[in-house]
Amino acid sequence: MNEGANVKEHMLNLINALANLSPSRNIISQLILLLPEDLAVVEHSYPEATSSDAKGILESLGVKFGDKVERINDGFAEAIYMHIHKTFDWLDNEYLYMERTYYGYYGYVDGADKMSEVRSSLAKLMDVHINSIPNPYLEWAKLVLKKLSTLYSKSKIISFLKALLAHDSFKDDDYRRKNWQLFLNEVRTRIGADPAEFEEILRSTVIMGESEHLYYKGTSRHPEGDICLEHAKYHLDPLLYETYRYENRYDHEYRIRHKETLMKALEEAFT
Amino acid sequence: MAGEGSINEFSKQLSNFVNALMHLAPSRNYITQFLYIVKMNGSVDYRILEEAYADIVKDEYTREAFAKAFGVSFTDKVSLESGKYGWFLTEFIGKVLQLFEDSEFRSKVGALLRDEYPQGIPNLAEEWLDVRVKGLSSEPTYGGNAIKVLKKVMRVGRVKMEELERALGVGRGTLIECLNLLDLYKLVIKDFDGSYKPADDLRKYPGVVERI
Repeated sequence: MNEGANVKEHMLNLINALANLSPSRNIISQLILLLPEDLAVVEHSYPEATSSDAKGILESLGVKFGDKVERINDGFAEAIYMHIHKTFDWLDNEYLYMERTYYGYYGYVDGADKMSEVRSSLAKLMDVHINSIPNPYLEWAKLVLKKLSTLYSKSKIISFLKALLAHDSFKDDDYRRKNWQLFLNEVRTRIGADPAEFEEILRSTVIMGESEHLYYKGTSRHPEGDICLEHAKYHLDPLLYETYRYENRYDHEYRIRHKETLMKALEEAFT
Repeated sequence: MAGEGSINEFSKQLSNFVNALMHLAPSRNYITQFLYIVKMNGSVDYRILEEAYADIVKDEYTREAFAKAFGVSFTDKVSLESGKYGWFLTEFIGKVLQLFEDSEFRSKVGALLRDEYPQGIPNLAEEWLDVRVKGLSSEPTYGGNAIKVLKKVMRVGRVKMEELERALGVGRGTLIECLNLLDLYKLVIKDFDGSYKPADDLRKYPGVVERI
């Protein structure tokens, strides 16, 4: 339909459009990503978004203003919220999908896999160096880390994240998550944060109790667990929560995502 | 209360936001157009896309990169693998088209960005329909007849192949090719009784075909 189109040029336009929708480059995306939030906080942090004209447009996008400002179900704001997460993962080689494999006697078994060659493939299509492809997750992580260092002690944030990123995963065989709790207690003592401050750091960076179910694992006849994304306040979302069923017992695992990028963000944000 | 500076800052951000969304539209981007056509059809014959999107499909290097980056599966049929980014992106583009179809959204945004869009904010859903109809009409072998078929289907509302054959004086073979093209661009819907009717967006925007 599009005679003589230039794949390279159109790919560049597409990637730039996707990057320009990311929260590091646009306050509309940023505000939508960080909802729900108290109206007073939104008015203070985004005064430009609370004029009556701006509110009208945000409402058309599916944002509801009350004492709390929130995304309505099935509105465009909800769609772009999902889109931001998917594009974060996609352009950072972290995009997760379920692969169904046939194992003869066992039938079809679902397992999670990553689209790991995205950046190199896009670099080929655009004929550019891989590093010149935007990485919205890295851009956002650097902004968030700078912001967090104004709220908490910079050294505490750096030490906590470095300790977390030194691990690939935390595995536990009981729901109380003994190993994970041990890690948290140990790192809290080491960085010298009081319990309330540490809880705030946790909620801002890794986990705030909002878990998004992504996939069921196993077969439809014999489900063997779940894969969930743990959301944190600023949506760096470095934890993937997986459960595995063995007989009548469940194992629980936090897998660390975006490891290299978060390390890079730490270096670039604070040097 | 937000001052004038705040509104100007919001307008700037809104302009970037709206521009980025518009650049994703399949009417404006060759890559999303290819992905969206595949998504609309579920799967498309490789041979058809090889002709329609030669720059993407004919070159092995490009095919491989599309497969790895977007999860496009190339066999005798071309499809989007479920759950991969190409699938997700086309779902999102569907939401973008819906948003720009909303006249209230367009008029609110148009009021703030009047200087940038003096003609108003485009309806991307109608624009996408326009691109498909124009693409159909410019198809070198069957384009002209396909438009005749489409106009007849729109005039009558629901019509069977035999009636089209009689009314347009077009041979069965040509008619089948025309209907295949109309189906590829999702301009007609084949009903359970074998009759053809216009797609929903053509009912909403009949002017697009009348202008051809």
